[in-house]
Amino acid sequence: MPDISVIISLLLAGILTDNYVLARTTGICPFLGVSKKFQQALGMGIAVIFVIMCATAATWPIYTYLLVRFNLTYLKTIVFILVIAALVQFVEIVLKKFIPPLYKALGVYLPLITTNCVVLGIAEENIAKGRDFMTSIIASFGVGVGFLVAMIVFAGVRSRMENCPSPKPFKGIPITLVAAAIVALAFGGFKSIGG
Amino acid sequence: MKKENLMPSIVLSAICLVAALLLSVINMFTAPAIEAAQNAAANAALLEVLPDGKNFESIEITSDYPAAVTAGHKADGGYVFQMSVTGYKPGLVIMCGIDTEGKIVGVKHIQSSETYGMEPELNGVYVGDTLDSVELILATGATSSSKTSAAYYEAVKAALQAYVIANGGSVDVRTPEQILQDNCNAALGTEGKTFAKWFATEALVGVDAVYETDGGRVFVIGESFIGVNAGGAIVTADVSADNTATVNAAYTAVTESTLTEITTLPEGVSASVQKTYVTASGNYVFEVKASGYKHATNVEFAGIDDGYFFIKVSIDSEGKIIDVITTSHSESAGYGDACATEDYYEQYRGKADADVTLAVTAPDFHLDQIADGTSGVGIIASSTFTTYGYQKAVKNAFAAYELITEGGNE
Amino acid sequence: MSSNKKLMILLRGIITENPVLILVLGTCPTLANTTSMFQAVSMGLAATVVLIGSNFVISLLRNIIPDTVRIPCYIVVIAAFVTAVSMLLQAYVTPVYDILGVWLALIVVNCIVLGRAEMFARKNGPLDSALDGLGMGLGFLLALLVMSTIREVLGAGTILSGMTAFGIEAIKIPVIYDLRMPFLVESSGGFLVFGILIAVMAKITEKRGGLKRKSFSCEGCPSAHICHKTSCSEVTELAAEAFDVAVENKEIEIENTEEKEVSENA
Repeated sequence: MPDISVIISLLLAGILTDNYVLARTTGICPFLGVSKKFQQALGMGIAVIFVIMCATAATWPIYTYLLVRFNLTYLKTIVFILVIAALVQFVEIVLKKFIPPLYKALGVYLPLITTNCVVLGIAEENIAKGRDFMTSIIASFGVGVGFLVAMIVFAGVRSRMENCPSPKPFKGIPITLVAAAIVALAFGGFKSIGG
Repeated sequence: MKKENLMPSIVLSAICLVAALLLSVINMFTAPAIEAAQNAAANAALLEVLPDGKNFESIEITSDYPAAVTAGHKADGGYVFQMSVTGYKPGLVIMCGIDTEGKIVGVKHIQSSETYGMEPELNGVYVGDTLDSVELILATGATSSSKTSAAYYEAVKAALQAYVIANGGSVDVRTPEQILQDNCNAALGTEGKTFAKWFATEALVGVDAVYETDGGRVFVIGESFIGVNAGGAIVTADVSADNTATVNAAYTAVTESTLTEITTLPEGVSASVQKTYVTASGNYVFEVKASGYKHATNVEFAGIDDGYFFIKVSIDSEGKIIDVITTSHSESAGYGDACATEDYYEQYRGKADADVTLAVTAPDFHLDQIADGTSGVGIIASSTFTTYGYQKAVKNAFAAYELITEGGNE
Repeated sequence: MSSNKKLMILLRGIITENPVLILVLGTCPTLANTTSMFQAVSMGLAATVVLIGSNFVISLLRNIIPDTVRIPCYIVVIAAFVTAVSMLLQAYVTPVYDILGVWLALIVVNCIVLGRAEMFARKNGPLDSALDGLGMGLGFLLALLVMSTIREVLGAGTILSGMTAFGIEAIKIPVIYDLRMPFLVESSGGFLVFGILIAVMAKITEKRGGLKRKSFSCEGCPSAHICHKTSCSEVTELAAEAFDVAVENKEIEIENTEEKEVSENA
């Protein structure tokens, strides 16, 4: 188990200072596409946390105990993306069968997560930074929560924006991106935390 | 039906297999190049401190090397050593390149969490130094960087020592303190005992210093260390007749020097004088609390009552200092910590009250920096606070001495 | 097929169906890799190579791959090309490998690549598919280059930075360097420049009366098939409804238990 200060700094980085969405611009598709309503944002965020944790729990041992052992580290990306895709399918089936209420709430978001770069991104980062298993899990959790926070904050901003007039060429995506710029600027203020 | 269900998985597996096979072929071709590229990247760091180096090869760091050295590379054209030392924080990692003549050609920090950003300056100051010429160099600017400076010196010296060892030579990687302890143990025929310096309460003619441990004492005369056991017999072999006589006389003086504490002091003795003793021969010993750099700055800027240092002063019946010693301090490394050295004590020995002049005057003393080259008893260049604190403490001891002896004369 | 038509395939990706500025795909790498022109061109070229290769191979295999497992198959092919490009870059062009970092691996989940496989390669011949990949790749590269030029010049006040490994020193642009706006090379600046660029494209194409910008529709979305062809907004609406229902049920449950407790207490 990593040191408590390591845990706190990992969580802080994932959620605020080095937010995958707002600081690293990863996972922008769902961030822009599924943040029109608060409930959508919440559902997507929770689904992403869930998948990220599962993906890390699966990819880390596979990399460490299979790929490294058999000297196949160059197959990392190909294996990771397949594992994530299979995992998403598997989670979907399990939820559908055993926890129908949860499936109803989250199921529709799951397919969108396969091609979400946050999931593959954190899996690759955990390996690249040489983190151990528990540290990887904690880092992944921080990144997932960071995604959720970004989604919720942005959904709040967008719900206000819906009723505001904007210049015609800016209608739709452009004005959304400009709003995202301002939210990202605000999150930039957290950068000094934790030095 | 079954066949149709099977088909997709077969195709998928086949594609996976072919992809993996093709990738393994590419891997076979690129693996050596990737390794070469990674080596080049690692060597780039080595080349920065040893630009003329070629064919770097890692060397094994045995226990003969100074503890700070963590890695070493041999090359045509010299060596590169990597040291891990502690400045303000642990984890200051420094690389040092040394050419075939044992001269430093490059120093670079590769990992640092020091606060004051003095590394770029310190990287440059030791270039050209050899093991014989290397000396602690402080970064210019505030005293705040002195720990970083000291760590750099430690690292660079370790690299120079490692260079000698790597070339098949041997160096004394012991600190002066360790050497002293080893010499004392050798003289007394003991092992691993810790010796403490005897604080001179009597002037010992011909003896430079005395070190004590349980079961014996060691007398230092010049380069010779002479051990005397608890029974008073000299245990060191081959001691000259002169030295034997000197040591025997000194031994008697030391053992007879019993201290009697004076509990009632005359009025007017400074509160900083915490304890006063008198010896059988009428010498006085004062334990004085002094305001150090940290105390002065803390009280002034932060209101924290901390950071004192403690000294002992012994004064003979003629009002001259026999010895001074700093028993504990927290002064800055490379600056005020000079107050705990033999050289510093030596300045005070044999001096009378009139010989010691305060170099600066309170309360504005922090405005006057003591410049290099300012002379006088007990002056430490650029350590205004330590100098003032020490001199003031000695003065307080003299004042107490005056009051006590005058009282006795009446 | 006439050479004219082939040219059309090529040009479509670069201009009329520019994957970034018109289809708004691949936003993540676009935002993350446009802080310097060098990084943008690196990303653009790497993605182009992957696009050409994966489109070509997927088109070749289009009659062999069963419909039910086509997405995993595409992913494997794409990931293989990404890995190959990544290994070659690490071996022979290390500075490019270093500057792209994790984004090199993330080309696998770049919607443009999977989107082109799904939209074009599985319906067209290998040559056309490769051409389409080249066109789309160049369109991506062009968009990245435009955006990175704006961000690097105005944000860092330099051009050609980050290329010391190739013996090229960054050039500080006089006057602009002193007036630079560092936030433009931060993530927030990326969002802003991207938003403005799309708006400008919209304005231009509006005058020409032709192109209609696609919103986040299923067209070009690699995940569309998994959503059973319901559009994203429909999917999310459905999800929201499901959520509302779930919340209502929960509330009713809570109310019921509360009532129960109240009655029990009474």
